[in-house]
Amino acid sequence: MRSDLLTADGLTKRYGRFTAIEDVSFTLRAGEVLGLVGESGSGKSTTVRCLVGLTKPDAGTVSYDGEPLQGRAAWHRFRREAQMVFQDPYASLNPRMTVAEIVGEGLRVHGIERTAAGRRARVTTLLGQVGLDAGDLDRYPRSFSGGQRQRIAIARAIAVEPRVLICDEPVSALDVSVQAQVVNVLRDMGRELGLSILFIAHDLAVVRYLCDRLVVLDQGRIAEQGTREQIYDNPQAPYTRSLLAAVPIPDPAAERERRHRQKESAR
Amino acid sequence: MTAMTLPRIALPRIPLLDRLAIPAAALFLLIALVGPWLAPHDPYQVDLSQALQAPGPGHWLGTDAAGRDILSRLLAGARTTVLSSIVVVVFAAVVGIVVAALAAIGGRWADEILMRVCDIFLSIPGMILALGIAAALGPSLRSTIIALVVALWPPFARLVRAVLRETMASTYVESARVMGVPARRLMARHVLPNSLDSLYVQAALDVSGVIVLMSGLSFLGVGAQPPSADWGAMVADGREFVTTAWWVATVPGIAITLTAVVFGLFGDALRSKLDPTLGDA
Ligand SMILES: Nc1ncnc2c1ncn2[C@@H]1O[C@H](COP(=O)(O)OP(=O)(O)O)[C@@H](O)[C@H]1O
Ligand SMILES: [Mg+2]
Repeated sequence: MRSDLLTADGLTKRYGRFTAIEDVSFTLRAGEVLGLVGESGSGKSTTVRCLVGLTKPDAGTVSYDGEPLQGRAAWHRFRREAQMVFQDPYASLNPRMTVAEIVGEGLRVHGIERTAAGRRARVTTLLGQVGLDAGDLDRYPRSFSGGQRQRIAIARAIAVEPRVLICDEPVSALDVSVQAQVVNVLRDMGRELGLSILFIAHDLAVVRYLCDRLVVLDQGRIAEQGTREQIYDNPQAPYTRSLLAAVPIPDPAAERERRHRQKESAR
Repeated sequence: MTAMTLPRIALPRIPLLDRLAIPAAALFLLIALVGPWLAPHDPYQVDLSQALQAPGPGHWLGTDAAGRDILSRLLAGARTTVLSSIVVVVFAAVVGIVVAALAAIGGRWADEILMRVCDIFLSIPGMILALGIAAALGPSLRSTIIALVVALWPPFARLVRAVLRETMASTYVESARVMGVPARRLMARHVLPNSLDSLYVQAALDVSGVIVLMSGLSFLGVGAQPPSADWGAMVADGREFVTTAWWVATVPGIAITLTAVVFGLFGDALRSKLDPTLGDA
Protein backbone atom coordinates (compact mmCIF):
# COMPACT_ATOMS: atom_id res chain seq x y z
CA MET A 1 0.00 0.00 0.00
CA ARG A 2 1.05 3.59 -0.61
CA SER A 3 2.51 5.37 2.37
CA ASP A 4 0.77 8.24 4.11
CA LEU A 5 2.23 11.59 3.15
CA LEU A 6 -0.02 14.31 4.53
CA THR A 7 -2.56 13.62 7.23
CA ALA A 8 -5.23 15.81 8.77
CA ASP A 9 -6.37 14.48 12.10
CA GLY A 10 -9.47 15.91 13.75
CA LEU A 11 -9.10 19.44 12.35
CA THR A 12 -11.61 21.86 13.82
CA LYS A 13 -11.81 25.59 13.19
CA ARG A 14 -14.33 28.06 14.62
CA TYR A 15 -14.87 31.69 13.73
CA GLY A 16 -16.56 33.08 16.80
CA ARG A 17 -19.55 30.86 17.41
CA PHE A 18 -19.57 29.60 13.84
CA THR A 19 -17.88 26.27 13.25
CA ALA A 20 -16.25 26.33 9.81
CA ILE A 21 -14.89 22.76 10.00
CA GLU A 22 -15.27 20.09 12.61
CA ASP A 23 -13.29 16.91 13.15
CA VAL A 24 -11.94 16.71 9.61
CA SER A 25 -9.58 13.77 9.14
CA PHE A 26 -8.14 12.35 5.95
CA THR A 27 -4.87 11.26 4.45
CA LEU A 28 -3.12 12.08 1.21
CA ARG A 29 -1.04 9.08 0.23
CA ALA A 30 2.19 9.15 -1.74
CA GLY A 31 1.60 9.34 -5.48
CA GLU A 32 -2.17 9.67 -5.43
CA VAL A 33 -4.56 12.42 -6.42
CA LEU A 34 -7.02 13.03 -3.61
CA GLY A 35 -10.11 15.15 -4.25
CA LEU A 36 -11.64 17.31 -1.51
CA VAL A 37 -15.12 18.17 -2.68
CA GLY A 38 -18.01 20.16 -1.23
CA GLU A 39 -20.25 23.08 -2.01
CA SER A 40 -19.06 26.63 -1.66
CA GLY A 41 -18.83 27.45 2.05
CA SER A 42 -18.45 23.81 3.12
CA GLY A 43 -15.05 24.53 4.65
CA LYS A 44 -12.63 23.36 1.93
CA SER A 45 -10.41 26.42 2.00
CA THR A 46 -10.45 26.50 5.78
CA THR A 47 -9.24 22.88 5.78
CA VAL A 48 -6.46 23.74 3.35
CA ARG A 49 -5.44 26.81 5.33
CA CYS A 50 -5.14 24.67 8.46
CA LEU A 51 -3.10 22.10 6.54
CA VAL A 52 -0.54 24.61 5.28
CA GLY A 53 -0.34 26.69 8.44
CA LEU A 54 -2.06 29.85 7.20
CA THR A 55 -4.68 29.37 9.91
CA LYS A 56 -4.24 27.84 13.33
CA PRO A 57 -6.87 25.16 13.93
CA ASP A 58 -8.74 25.17 17.24
CA ALA A 59 -8.24 21.44 17.49
CA GLY A 60 -6.56 18.69 15.51
CA THR A 61 -3.12 18.09 14.10
CA VAL A 62 -1.40 17.82 10.76
CA SER A 63 1.30 15.26 10.06
CA TYR A 64 3.69 15.24 7.17
CA ASP A 65 5.60 12.14 6.12
CA GLY A 66 4.75 10.38 9.37
CA GLU A 67 5.84 13.20 11.68
CA PRO A 68 3.62 15.80 13.34
CA LEU A 69 4.12 19.18 11.68
CA GLN A 70 5.78 20.89 14.64
CA GLY A 71 8.94 22.88 15.13
CA ARG A 72 11.16 24.85 12.79
CA ALA A 73 12.86 21.96 11.04
CA ALA A 74 9.63 20.16 10.17
CA TRP A 75 8.02 23.32 8.85
CA HIS A 76 11.12 24.29 6.92
CA ARG A 77 11.07 20.97 5.11
CA PHE A 78 7.32 21.16 4.55
CA ARG A 79 7.62 24.68 3.07
CA ARG A 80 9.81 23.28 0.38
CA GLU A 81 8.16 19.90 -0.19
CA ALA A 82 4.54 21.01 -0.18
CA GLN A 83 3.44 23.72 -2.60
CA MET A 84 0.11 25.30 -3.28
CA VAL A 85 -1.91 26.68 -6.16
CA PHE A 86 -4.58 29.17 -5.09
CA GLN A 87 -8.06 29.66 -6.46
CA ASP A 88 -7.78 33.19 -7.77
CA PRO A 89 -4.81 33.73 -10.09
CA TYR A 90 -5.66 37.43 -10.19
CA ALA A 91 -4.82 37.67 -6.49
CA SER A 92 -2.12 35.08 -5.98
CA LEU A 93 0.68 36.66 -8.04
CA ASN A 94 2.59 39.67 -6.70
CA PRO A 95 1.73 42.49 -9.15
CA ARG A 96 5.18 44.04 -8.72
CA MET A 97 7.27 41.02 -9.61
CA THR A 98 8.06 39.73 -13.07
CA VAL A 99 7.27 36.18 -14.08
CA ALA A 100 10.97 35.33 -13.78
CA GLU A 101 11.01 36.62 -10.20
CA ILE A 102 7.74 34.97 -9.24
CA VAL A 103 8.63 31.54 -10.58
CA GLY A 104 12.27 31.83 -9.51
CA GLU A 105 11.59 32.91 -5.94
CA GLY A 106 11.29 29.40 -4.53
CA LEU A 107 14.52 28.40 -6.27
CA ARG A 108 16.16 31.34 -4.60
CA VAL A 109 14.83 31.09 -1.06
CA HIS A 110 15.40 27.36 -0.87
CA GLY A 111 18.91 27.71 -2.25
CA ILE A 112 18.23 25.47 -5.25
CA GLU A 113 19.63 27.91 -7.81
CA ARG A 114 21.85 30.52 -6.26
CA THR A 115 22.71 32.52 -9.35
CA ALA A 116 20.34 34.74 -11.30
CA ALA A 117 21.42 33.14 -14.57
CA GLY A 118 20.81 29.67 -13.22
CA ARG A 119 17.34 30.64 -12.05
CA ARG A 120 16.52 32.23 -15.38
CA ALA A 121 17.45 29.08 -17.24
CA ARG A 122 15.37 26.93 -14.88
CA VAL A 123 12.40 29.27 -15.08
CA THR A 124 12.55 29.21 -18.87
CA THR A 125 12.31 25.42 -18.80
CA LEU A 126 9.46 25.54 -16.29
CA LEU A 127 7.50 28.00 -18.40
CA GLY A 128 7.89 25.64 -21.34
CA GLN A 129 6.54 22.79 -19.24
CA VAL A 130 3.35 24.68 -18.42
CA GLY A 131 2.87 25.97 -21.96
CA LEU A 132 4.23 29.51 -21.72
CA ASP A 133 7.31 30.80 -23.49
CA ALA A 134 10.59 32.42 -22.61
CA GLY A 135 9.41 35.75 -24.01
CA ASP A 136 7.12 36.02 -20.98
CA LEU A 137 9.98 36.04 -18.46
CA ASP A 138 10.18 39.77 -17.92
CA ARG A 139 6.49 40.58 -18.10
CA TYR A 140 4.30 41.38 -15.12
CA PRO A 141 1.22 39.36 -14.12
CA ARG A 142 -1.17 42.09 -15.30
CA SER A 143 -0.38 41.31 -18.93
CA PHE A 144 -1.63 37.72 -18.70
CA SER A 145 -5.06 36.13 -18.91
CA GLY A 146 -6.50 34.11 -16.03
CA GLY A 147 -5.49 30.80 -17.59
CA GLN A 148 -1.95 32.01 -18.23
CA ARG A 149 -1.66 33.33 -14.71
CA GLN A 150 -2.71 30.00 -13.31
CA ARG A 151 0.01 28.37 -15.43
CA ILE A 152 2.51 30.80 -13.90
CA ALA A 153 1.24 29.80 -10.45
CA ILE A 154 1.68 26.13 -11.36
CA ALA A 155 5.20 26.76 -12.64
CA ARG A 156 6.00 28.55 -9.37
CA ALA A 157 4.65 25.64 -7.35
CA ILE A 158 6.55 22.91 -9.20
CA ALA A 159 9.77 24.94 -9.46
CA VAL A 160 11.08 23.69 -6.13
CA GLU A 161 10.35 20.06 -7.01
CA PRO A 162 7.76 19.48 -4.30
CA ARG A 163 6.34 16.13 -3.29
CA VAL A 164 2.91 17.47 -2.47
CA LEU A 165 0.80 19.88 -4.47
CA ILE A 166 -2.30 21.40 -2.92
CA CYS A 167 -4.67 22.99 -5.40
CA ASP A 168 -7.56 25.00 -3.93
CA GLU A 169 -10.16 25.15 -6.72
CA PRO A 170 -7.45 26.03 -9.25
CA VAL A 171 -9.88 26.40 -12.15
CA SER A 172 -13.08 27.76 -10.59
CA ALA A 173 -12.05 31.35 -11.25
CA LEU A 174 -11.18 30.63 -14.87
CA ASP A 175 -13.18 30.74 -18.10
CA VAL A 176 -14.88 27.43 -18.76
CA SER A 177 -13.02 27.26 -22.07
CA VAL A 178 -9.60 27.11 -20.39
CA GLN A 179 -10.50 25.05 -17.32
CA ALA A 180 -9.81 21.72 -19.00
CA GLN A 181 -6.42 22.89 -20.30
CA VAL A 182 -5.29 23.97 -16.86
CA VAL A 183 -6.53 20.73 -15.28
CA ASN A 184 -4.58 18.84 -17.94
CA VAL A 185 -1.42 20.79 -17.19
CA LEU A 186 -1.81 19.90 -13.54
CA ARG A 187 -2.46 16.24 -14.27
CA ASP A 188 0.48 15.96 -16.68
CA MET A 189 2.85 17.72 -14.31
CA GLY A 190 1.64 15.55 -11.49
CA ARG A 191 2.39 12.38 -13.44
CA GLU A 192 5.69 13.60 -14.78
CA LEU A 193 6.99 14.64 -11.37
CA GLY A 194 5.35 11.87 -9.38
CA LEU A 195 3.46 14.40 -7.25
CA SER A 196 0.88 13.65 -4.63
CA ILE A 197 -1.97 16.06 -5.25
CA LEU A 198 -4.74 17.32 -3.03
CA PHE A 199 -7.25 18.75 -5.45
CA ILE A 200 -10.11 20.86 -4.10
CA ALA A 201 -13.27 21.37 -6.12
CA HIS A 202 -16.83 22.48 -5.48
CA ASP A 203 -18.39 19.93 -7.78
CA LEU A 204 -17.71 16.40 -8.81
CA ALA A 205 -17.41 17.08 -12.54
CA VAL A 206 -13.93 18.61 -12.58
CA VAL A 207 -12.32 15.92 -10.45
CA ARG A 208 -13.94 12.89 -12.03
CA TYR A 209 -11.07 11.77 -14.24
CA LEU A 210 -8.36 13.20 -12.04
CA CYS A 211 -8.77 11.76 -8.58
CA ASP A 212 -7.96 8.32 -7.24
CA ARG A 213 -9.86 8.93 -4.04
CA LEU A 214 -12.31 11.54 -2.80
CA VAL A 215 -13.28 13.20 0.45
CA VAL A 216 -16.71 14.82 0.48
CA LEU A 217 -17.19 17.75 2.82
CA ASP A 218 -20.66 18.90 3.90
CA GLN A 219 -21.06 21.96 6.13
CA GLY A 220 -17.64 21.52 7.67
CA ARG A 221 -17.91 17.80 8.31
CA ILE A 222 -16.82 14.85 6.25
CA ALA A 223 -19.89 13.30 4.66
CA GLU A 224 -18.08 10.43 3.00
CA GLN A 225 -14.72 9.35 1.68
CA GLY A 226 -13.67 6.56 -0.60
CA THR A 227 -12.17 5.58 -3.93
CA ARG A 228 -13.37 7.18 -7.12
CA GLU A 229 -15.36 4.07 -7.98
CA GLN A 230 -17.06 3.99 -4.59
CA ILE A 231 -18.01 7.66 -4.72
CA TYR A 232 -19.18 7.82 -8.32
CA ASP A 233 -20.76 4.41 -8.72
CA ASN A 234 -22.01 3.70 -5.25
CA PRO A 235 -22.35 6.86 -3.19
CA GLN A 236 -23.47 6.27 0.39
CA ALA A 237 -24.18 9.73 1.78
CA PRO A 238 -27.30 11.54 0.52
CA TYR A 239 -25.16 14.68 0.19
CA THR A 240 -22.79 12.93 -2.21
CA ARG A 241 -25.77 11.77 -4.28
CA SER A 242 -27.10 15.30 -4.54
CA LEU A 243 -23.67 16.53 -5.61
CA LEU A 244 -23.53 13.79 -8.24
CA ALA A 245 -27.00 14.61 -9.50
CA ALA A 246 -25.80 18.13 -10.21
CA VAL A 247 -23.00 16.90 -12.47
CA PRO A 248 -23.86 17.22 -16.14
CA ILE A 249 -22.52 14.46 -18.31
CA PRO A 250 -21.29 15.79 -21.63
CA ASP A 251 -22.22 12.63 -23.54
CA PRO A 252 -26.00 12.57 -24.19
CA ALA A 253 -26.14 8.79 -24.40
CA ALA A 254 -24.41 8.41 -21.07
CA GLU A 255 -26.69 11.06 -19.62
CA ARG A 256 -29.79 9.15 -20.81
CA GLU A 257 -28.33 5.98 -19.37
CA ARG A 258 -27.78 7.66 -16.04
CA ARG A 259 -31.30 9.07 -15.85
CA HIS A 260 -32.58 5.63 -16.63
CA ARG A 261 -30.46 4.07 -13.89
CA GLN A 262 -31.58 6.70 -11.40
CA LYS A 263 -35.23 5.91 -12.19
CA GLU A 264 -34.53 2.22 -11.81
CA SER A 265 -32.88 2.61 -8.45
CA ALA A 266 -35.65 4.92 -7.28
CA ARG A 267 -38.19 2.22 -7.92
CA MET B 1 -5.10 59.65 10.58
CA THR B 2 -2.94 62.75 10.69
CA ALA B 3 -6.12 64.75 11.00
CA MET B 4 -5.42 65.02 14.70
CA THR B 5 -1.89 66.33 14.23
CA LEU B 6 -1.81 68.11 10.94
CA PRO B 7 -3.85 70.94 9.55
CA ARG B 8 -5.49 69.71 6.42
CA ILE B 9 -6.71 72.04 3.74
CA ALA B 10 -9.80 70.48 2.22
CA LEU B 11 -10.90 71.73 -1.16
CA PRO B 12 -13.68 70.58 -3.46
CA ARG B 13 -12.47 68.14 -6.10
CA ILE B 14 -12.30 69.85 -9.45
CA PRO B 15 -10.89 67.77 -12.33
CA LEU B 16 -8.95 70.71 -13.74
CA LEU B 17 -7.27 71.29 -10.37
CA ASP B 18 -6.30 67.63 -10.33
CA ARG B 19 -4.53 68.02 -13.63
CA LEU B 20 -2.87 71.28 -12.66
CA ALA B 21 -1.79 70.09 -9.23
CA ILE B 22 1.13 67.94 -10.37
CA PRO B 23 2.81 70.58 -12.60
CA ALA B 24 2.03 73.24 -9.99
CA ALA B 25 3.72 71.21 -7.23
CA ALA B 26 6.68 70.62 -9.55
CA LEU B 27 6.89 74.38 -10.20
CA PHE B 28 6.83 75.19 -6.47
CA LEU B 29 9.52 72.62 -5.88
CA LEU B 30 11.63 74.13 -8.63
CA ILE B 31 11.20 77.60 -7.12
CA ALA B 32 12.24 76.19 -3.75
CA LEU B 33 15.38 74.76 -5.34
CA VAL B 34 16.50 77.71 -7.46
CA GLY B 35 14.58 80.51 -5.68
CA PRO B 36 17.61 82.27 -4.17
CA TRP B 37 19.12 82.73 -7.64
CA LEU B 38 15.91 84.21 -9.02
CA ALA B 39 15.79 86.93 -6.39
CA PRO B 40 15.96 90.38 -8.03
CA HIS B 41 17.57 91.91 -4.92
CA ASP B 42 19.76 90.72 -2.08
CA PRO B 43 17.20 89.35 0.40
CA TYR B 44 19.38 90.33 3.36
CA GLN B 45 20.34 93.85 2.24
CA VAL B 46 19.10 96.30 4.87
CA ASP B 47 18.30 99.72 3.40
CA LEU B 48 16.32 101.88 5.80
CA SER B 49 15.72 104.51 3.13
CA GLN B 50 13.62 101.89 1.32
CA ALA B 51 11.65 100.76 4.44
CA LEU B 52 8.01 99.74 4.04
CA GLN B 53 7.72 100.55 0.36
CA ALA B 54 4.35 99.50 -1.06
CA PRO B 55 4.34 96.96 -3.91
CA GLY B 56 5.22 98.66 -7.19
CA PRO B 57 7.91 98.88 -9.84
CA GLY B 58 11.34 98.27 -8.31
CA HIS B 59 9.89 96.19 -5.47
CA TRP B 60 7.09 94.11 -6.96
CA LEU B 61 5.90 92.89 -3.56
CA GLY B 62 7.08 95.85 -1.51
CA THR B 63 9.71 96.02 1.21
CA ASP B 64 9.73 95.30 4.93
CA ALA B 65 10.62 97.52 7.88
CA ALA B 66 14.33 97.04 7.21
CA GLY B 67 13.88 97.99 3.57
CA ARG B 68 14.52 94.43 2.35
CA ASP B 69 12.82 93.34 -0.89
CA ILE B 70 9.92 91.02 0.05
CA LEU B 71 9.86 89.16 -3.28
CA SER B 72 13.55 88.32 -2.87
CA ARG B 73 13.01 87.21 0.72
CA LEU B 74 10.04 85.10 -0.37
CA LEU B 75 12.15 83.36 -3.01
CA ALA B 76 15.01 82.83 -0.60
CA GLY B 77 12.60 81.60 2.08
CA ALA B 78 10.95 79.10 -0.25
CA ARG B 79 13.95 76.89 0.20
CA THR B 80 13.73 76.87 3.99
CA THR B 81 10.00 76.42 4.10
CA VAL B 82 9.32 73.95 1.29
CA LEU B 83 12.50 71.89 1.39
CA SER B 84 12.51 71.62 5.19
CA SER B 85 8.90 70.47 5.12
CA ILE B 86 9.79 67.77 2.61
CA VAL B 87 12.78 66.77 4.72
CA VAL B 88 10.50 66.50 7.77
CA VAL B 89 8.01 64.29 5.94
CA VAL B 90 10.71 62.09 4.42
CA PHE B 91 12.32 61.50 7.82
CA ALA B 92 8.98 60.95 9.58
CA ALA B 93 7.93 58.53 6.83
CA VAL B 94 11.20 56.61 6.92
CA VAL B 95 11.07 56.27 10.70
CA GLY B 96 7.38 55.32 10.53
CA ILE B 97 7.95 52.69 7.84
CA VAL B 98 10.99 51.17 9.55
CA VAL B 99 9.25 50.97 12.92
CA ALA B 100 6.03 49.53 11.48
CA ALA B 101 7.92 47.00 9.35
CA LEU B 102 10.03 45.87 12.32
CA ALA B 103 6.88 45.53 14.39
CA ALA B 104 5.26 43.47 11.66
CA ILE B 105 8.26 41.15 11.41
CA GLY B 106 8.73 41.09 15.18
CA GLY B 107 5.31 39.65 15.91
CA ARG B 108 2.72 40.36 18.54
CA TRP B 109 4.96 41.78 21.27
CA ALA B 110 6.84 44.18 19.04
CA ASP B 111 3.53 45.29 17.60
CA GLU B 112 2.04 45.85 21.05
CA ILE B 113 4.99 48.00 22.13
CA LEU B 114 4.86 50.07 18.94
CA MET B 115 1.18 50.78 19.39
CA ARG B 116 1.62 51.85 23.02
CA VAL B 117 4.46 54.21 22.13
CA CYS B 118 2.34 55.68 19.33
CA ASP B 119 -0.58 56.14 21.71
CA ILE B 120 1.61 58.13 24.08
CA PHE B 121 2.79 60.43 21.31
CA LEU B 122 -0.65 60.74 19.80
CA SER B 123 -2.20 61.76 23.10
CA ILE B 124 -0.30 65.07 22.84
CA PRO B 125 -1.39 67.44 20.06
CA GLY B 126 1.33 67.58 17.38
CA MET B 127 1.72 71.33 17.47
CA ILE B 128 2.16 71.44 21.26
CA LEU B 129 4.61 68.54 21.17
CA ALA B 130 6.64 70.12 18.36
CA LEU B 131 6.58 73.48 20.10
CA GLY B 132 7.82 71.94 23.35
CA ILE B 133 10.61 69.99 21.69
CA ALA B 134 11.71 72.90 19.49
CA ALA B 135 11.78 75.24 22.49
CA ALA B 136 13.71 72.72 24.56
CA LEU B 137 16.30 72.19 21.81
CA GLY B 138 16.76 75.93 21.42
CA PRO B 139 15.05 77.88 18.64
CA SER B 140 16.54 77.09 15.21
CA LEU B 141 15.54 75.58 11.92
CA ARG B 142 17.20 72.33 12.89
CA SER B 143 15.23 72.11 16.15
CA THR B 144 12.00 72.67 14.26
CA ILE B 145 12.82 69.88 11.84
CA ILE B 146 13.73 67.47 14.63
CA ALA B 147 10.64 68.46 16.64
CA LEU B 148 8.32 67.92 13.70
CA VAL B 149 9.86 64.56 12.84
CA VAL B 150 9.40 63.44 16.44
CA ALA B 151 5.81 64.67 16.44
CA LEU B 152 4.97 63.17 13.05
CA TRP B 153 6.44 59.70 12.92
CA PRO B 154 3.90 58.06 15.27
CA PRO B 155 0.81 58.83 13.19
CA PHE B 156 2.74 57.80 10.12
CA ALA B 157 3.82 54.52 11.73
CA ARG B 158 0.20 53.92 12.66
CA LEU B 159 -0.91 54.40 9.07
CA VAL B 160 1.91 52.23 7.75
CA ARG B 161 0.89 49.50 10.17
CA ALA B 162 -2.69 49.54 8.90
CA VAL B 163 -1.54 49.47 5.29
CA LEU B 164 0.99 46.68 5.92
CA ARG B 165 -1.66 44.57 7.64
CA GLU B 166 -3.95 44.90 4.68
CA THR B 167 -1.21 43.93 2.26
CA MET B 168 -0.12 41.02 4.45
CA ALA B 169 -3.59 39.53 4.21
CA SER B 170 -3.43 39.46 0.41
CA THR B 171 -3.26 36.14 -1.39
CA TYR B 172 0.12 36.76 -3.02
CA VAL B 173 1.67 37.36 0.39
CA GLU B 174 0.03 34.20 1.71
CA SER B 175 1.30 32.24 -1.25
CA ALA B 176 4.81 33.54 -0.61
CA ARG B 177 4.50 32.47 3.03
CA VAL B 178 3.33 29.00 2.05
CA MET B 179 6.37 28.77 -0.20
CA GLY B 180 8.65 29.52 2.73
CA VAL B 181 9.81 33.04 1.87
CA PRO B 182 11.55 34.28 5.03
CA ALA B 183 10.00 37.18 6.98
CA ARG B 184 12.54 39.80 5.97
CA ARG B 185 12.33 39.05 2.29
CA LEU B 186 8.55 38.83 2.56
CA MET B 187 8.50 42.36 3.93
CA ALA B 188 11.04 43.77 1.48
CA ARG B 189 9.84 42.14 -1.75
CA HIS B 190 6.15 41.54 -1.24
CA VAL B 191 4.59 43.65 1.49
CA LEU B 192 6.42 46.99 1.30
CA PRO B 193 6.46 47.47 -2.48
CA ASN B 194 2.73 46.87 -2.58
CA SER B 195 2.03 49.20 0.33
CA LEU B 196 4.00 52.22 -0.82
CA ASP B 197 1.36 53.77 -3.05
CA SER B 198 -0.91 54.69 -0.16
CA LEU B 199 2.11 55.94 1.75
CA TYR B 200 3.21 58.27 -1.07
CA VAL B 201 -0.23 59.83 -1.04
CA GLN B 202 -0.15 60.36 2.70
CA ALA B 203 3.37 61.80 2.51
CA ALA B 204 2.35 64.30 -0.16
CA LEU B 205 -0.65 65.36 1.91
CA ASP B 206 1.57 65.63 4.99
CA VAL B 207 3.94 68.04 3.21
CA SER B 208 1.05 70.44 2.94
CA GLY B 209 0.29 70.20 6.66
CA VAL B 210 3.94 70.45 7.66
CA ILE B 211 4.39 73.68 5.69
CA VAL B 212 1.66 75.21 7.83
CA LEU B 213 3.05 73.75 11.09
CA MET B 214 6.56 74.78 10.23
CA SER B 215 5.53 78.35 9.46
CA GLY B 216 3.49 78.34 12.65
CA LEU B 217 6.55 77.41 14.69
CA SER B 218 8.63 80.13 13.01
CA PHE B 219 5.85 82.59 13.56
CA LEU B 220 5.99 81.75 17.27
CA GLY B 221 9.73 82.32 17.21
CA VAL B 222 11.07 78.80 17.71
CA GLY B 223 11.94 78.23 14.03
CA ALA B 224 14.56 79.71 11.75
CA GLN B 225 16.11 82.75 13.37
CA PRO B 226 16.57 86.27 11.99
CA PRO B 227 17.84 87.42 9.67
CA SER B 228 17.14 84.26 7.66
CA ALA B 229 14.23 84.62 5.31
CA ASP B 230 11.58 82.28 6.64
CA TRP B 231 7.94 82.70 5.68
CA GLY B 232 6.55 82.18 9.18
CA ALA B 233 9.07 84.63 10.63
CA MET B 234 8.25 87.13 7.86
CA VAL B 235 4.58 87.02 8.83
CA ALA B 236 5.59 87.60 12.45
CA ASP B 237 7.77 90.59 11.40
CA GLY B 238 4.85 92.16 9.61
CA ARG B 239 2.39 91.85 12.48
CA GLU B 240 2.95 95.37 13.81
CA PHE B 241 2.40 96.95 10.39
CA VAL B 242 -0.74 95.10 9.38
CA THR B 243 -2.74 98.32 9.38
CA THR B 244 -0.07 100.57 7.90
CA ALA B 245 1.87 98.26 5.54
CA TRP B 246 -0.40 95.27 4.93
CA TRP B 247 1.91 93.57 2.42
CA VAL B 248 4.69 92.80 4.88
CA ALA B 249 2.62 90.11 6.66
CA THR B 250 0.09 89.36 3.95
CA VAL B 251 2.46 88.43 1.12
CA PRO B 252 4.28 85.64 3.01
CA GLY B 253 0.92 84.58 4.48
CA ILE B 254 -0.46 84.10 0.99
CA ALA B 255 2.71 82.23 -0.01
CA ILE B 256 2.25 79.80 2.89
CA THR B 257 -1.40 79.21 2.10
CA LEU B 258 -0.82 78.83 -1.62
CA THR B 259 2.03 76.36 -1.15
CA ALA B 260 0.02 74.31 1.36
CA VAL B 261 -2.93 74.24 -1.03
CA VAL B 262 -0.78 73.20 -3.98
CA PHE B 263 0.81 70.30 -2.09
CA GLY B 264 -2.60 69.29 -0.71
CA LEU B 265 -4.00 69.18 -4.21
CA PHE B 266 -0.92 67.29 -5.34
CA GLY B 267 -1.61 64.61 -2.70
CA ASP B 268 -5.22 64.35 -3.84
CA ALA B 269 -4.20 64.16 -7.49
CA LEU B 270 -1.67 61.46 -6.64
CA ARG B 271 -4.34 59.49 -4.84
CA SER B 272 -6.73 59.56 -7.77
CA LYS B 273 -3.88 58.61 -10.08
CA LEU B 274 -2.71 55.68 -7.96
CA ASP B 275 -5.99 54.33 -6.62
CA PRO B 276 -7.19 52.54 -9.76
CA THR B 277 -3.90 50.64 -9.93
CA LEU B 278 -3.99 49.55 -6.30
CA GLY B 279 -6.05 46.49 -7.22
CA ASP B 280 -3.86 45.94 -10.26
CA ALA B 281 -6.25 43.67 -12.14
N1 LIG C 1 -11.75 34.41 8.32
C1 LIG C 1 -13.03 34.01 8.45
N2 LIG C 1 -13.85 34.61 9.33
C2 LIG C 1 -15.13 34.23 9.48
N3 LIG C 1 -15.70 33.24 8.77
C3 LIG C 1 -14.95 32.61 7.86
C4 LIG C 1 -13.58 32.96 7.65
N4 LIG C 1 -13.08 32.16 6.68
C5 LIG C 1 -14.10 31.35 6.31
N5 LIG C 1 -15.22 31.61 7.01
C6 LIG C 1 -16.50 30.93 6.89
O1 LIG C 1 -16.27 29.55 6.98
C7 LIG C 1 -17.07 28.85 6.06
C8 LIG C 1 -16.22 27.98 5.19
O2 LIG C 1 -15.46 28.80 4.34
P1 LIG C 1 -14.42 28.20 3.31
O3 LIG C 1 -13.50 27.29 4.03
O4 LIG C 1 -13.80 29.35 2.59
O5 LIG C 1 -15.36 27.39 2.33
P2 LIG C 1 -15.10 26.83 0.87
O6 LIG C 1 -13.65 27.00 0.55
O7 LIG C 1 -15.53 25.41 0.93
O8 LIG C 1 -15.98 27.62 -0.04
C9 LIG C 1 -17.86 29.89 5.27
O9 LIG C 1 -19.17 29.96 5.80
C10 LIG C 1 -17.11 31.16 5.51
O10 LIG C 1 -17.97 32.25 5.52
MG1 LIG D 1 -12.70 28.05 -1.02
